[in-house]
Amino acid sequence: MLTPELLCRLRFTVRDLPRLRIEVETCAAGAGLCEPRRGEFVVAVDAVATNAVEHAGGSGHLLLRNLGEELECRVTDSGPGFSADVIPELLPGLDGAHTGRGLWLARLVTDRLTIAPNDGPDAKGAVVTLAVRLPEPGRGAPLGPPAARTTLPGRPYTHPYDRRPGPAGAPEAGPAEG
Amino acid sequence: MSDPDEVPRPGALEGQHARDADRARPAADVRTLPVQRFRPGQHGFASYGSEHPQWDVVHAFVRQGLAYGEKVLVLLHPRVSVGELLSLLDGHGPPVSDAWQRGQVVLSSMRALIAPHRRFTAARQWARLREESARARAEGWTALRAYIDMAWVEDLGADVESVMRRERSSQHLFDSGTYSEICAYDDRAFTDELLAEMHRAHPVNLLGSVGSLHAVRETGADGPQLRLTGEADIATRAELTRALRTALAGTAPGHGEPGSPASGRELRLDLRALHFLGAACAADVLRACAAAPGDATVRCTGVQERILRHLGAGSLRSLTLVVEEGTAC
Repeated sequence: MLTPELLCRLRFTVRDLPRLRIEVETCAAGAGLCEPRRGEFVVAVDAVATNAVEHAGGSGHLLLRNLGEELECRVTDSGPGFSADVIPELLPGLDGAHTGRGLWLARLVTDRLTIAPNDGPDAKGAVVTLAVRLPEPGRGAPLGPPAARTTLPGRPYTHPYDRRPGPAGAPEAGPAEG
Repeated sequence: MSDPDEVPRPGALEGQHARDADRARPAADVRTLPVQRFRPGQHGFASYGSEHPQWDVVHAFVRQGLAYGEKVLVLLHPRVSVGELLSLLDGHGPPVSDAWQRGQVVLSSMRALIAPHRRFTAARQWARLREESARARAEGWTALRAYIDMAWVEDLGADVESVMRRERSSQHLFDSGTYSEICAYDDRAFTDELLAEMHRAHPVNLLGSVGSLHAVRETGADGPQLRLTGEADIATRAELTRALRTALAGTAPGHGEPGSPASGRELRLDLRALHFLGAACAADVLRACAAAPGDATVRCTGVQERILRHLGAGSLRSLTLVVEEGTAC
C-alpha cells in the first residue's frame, strides 16, 4: 500500500517506460522538485530502468520514496548483478562503442547513486538507488490541497509549469505559504 | 550495463510499434504535442483507434493535472463506469481514487454536464464549462482541464455540423488561460473528412499514443530542419537514428538542392516538442551534430540543454544550442 512516503511502486518492462516516466515526473513535481532538476531526475531514472531492461533481465521493479529532504528511487533488477565499477570515471566519448553513458549521467545529475547486490527474497540481480535533494519546505512547488496554494498578497500566482528555483535564500515566486 | 551504441533489441522495436498506433492518423505538424506538454489555455484534438492508447493518454492527462494542482474533468464514453476508469488509472502512483474523493477529479458525462437539459447546444455547453472552470478556481485549483470523449455526440444524438461549428468557434473558453480541453475522437466512429476537419480546427493536436516519436522534415525561414515530437527513448531510438541519418544526408556538400553550399548545409534540429530525451538518444543527437559537414543548430528546452551539455555538447565547436525559455517544465 502506498503511503505519504512511498509515492510509487511498479514493475516494468520496456513497454512500461513511458508510464514509469510519467509517474516519476508527476510524483517529483508533487514532492516539490522544480525544473531543471526534475527533468534531469527523470532522465537519470530512465537510464537506470533502461539498463535493467537492456542488460539485467529485461524487467525491473521501481520504488519511489519521499524521504523529506530527498526524493529517492530504487530500481531492482533480476540480471546477473553488477557494481559501480561499470560506471566509467570520465564521460565516454561520442565515437566508438563506449558503454555506461546512461549510468554515468545518472550519477552526475543526482546527489546520491549507489549500486548493491539484491539481498531481497529473490537474492538475484542488483539494486540501484539514486536520490536528489528536495527544496526546503515552502521553496518547492506546493501542490497539495488548495490551502497550500494561496497567493501571497500583492504577488501574482505562478503556475508550477513556469516556476523555477530562485537564488539561494530568495523566496519562491508565487505561493509559498498556506 | 547500458550500451548506447547497441542496436535496440527486437523487444524494444516491438514496443515501439505497439506504442505507435497513431501512424495512420493526421500527420504531425507544428501544432502537434505529446499529452505531457498539454498546458492550461490549450484546446487540443486527439484521435484513437483502440482503447489501450487512449487509456495511456487519459492516464498521463489526469496525472499531469493532479501533479500541477489543476482540477480534472473526465467525460468518457457513456458506457465507461467510474469504477472502471478509476481501476484503469490507479495502480502505481498516488491513487486517483483519493483525488476523486476530494473532488480534484470529476468523472462524468456530457449528458450529466448539461442536465437537466437534454439537447446539446454550443451556448449551453459553453456556459456549463465556464461554470465548472470558475468553480475549480473558487475551490482553489490552479485551472480546470477537461478530457472529453466525443462519443457524447452519438449519445445525445447531436447534430455533427453544430458540433463542428462549436469546435471552430470556442476559442473564448481558453482566453483566460485557466481552462484547457482535449476533444478525443474515436476514429472508428467518425468519418475521415470530419476527423481531418477537426484536426485542422484545433490549435493543438495530441500525439495519439504515449511514448511515440514523430520526426518531421520541414523547411523554415532558415532552411530545412528536422523537428522531433514525443519521446526519444530505448523504444524509439531506431526511429530517431534513422531520422538523424536522413537529416544528415541532406546537409552533405553538393546535395543537389538549389542554394546548397559547396561546403555543406547547416544541420538544424528542433527538439522543443520532444518531451523526453534519454541519455543514449541525446548522445545520438550529438553524434549527428559532430558528423555534420557544416554548423549545427539545436533548438531545445532548458532540461535538454543541460543533458546535452553534460554529455559533451561544449566540445563541439560547430554546435549552437538555442534554448527556448518557458519550455523547460
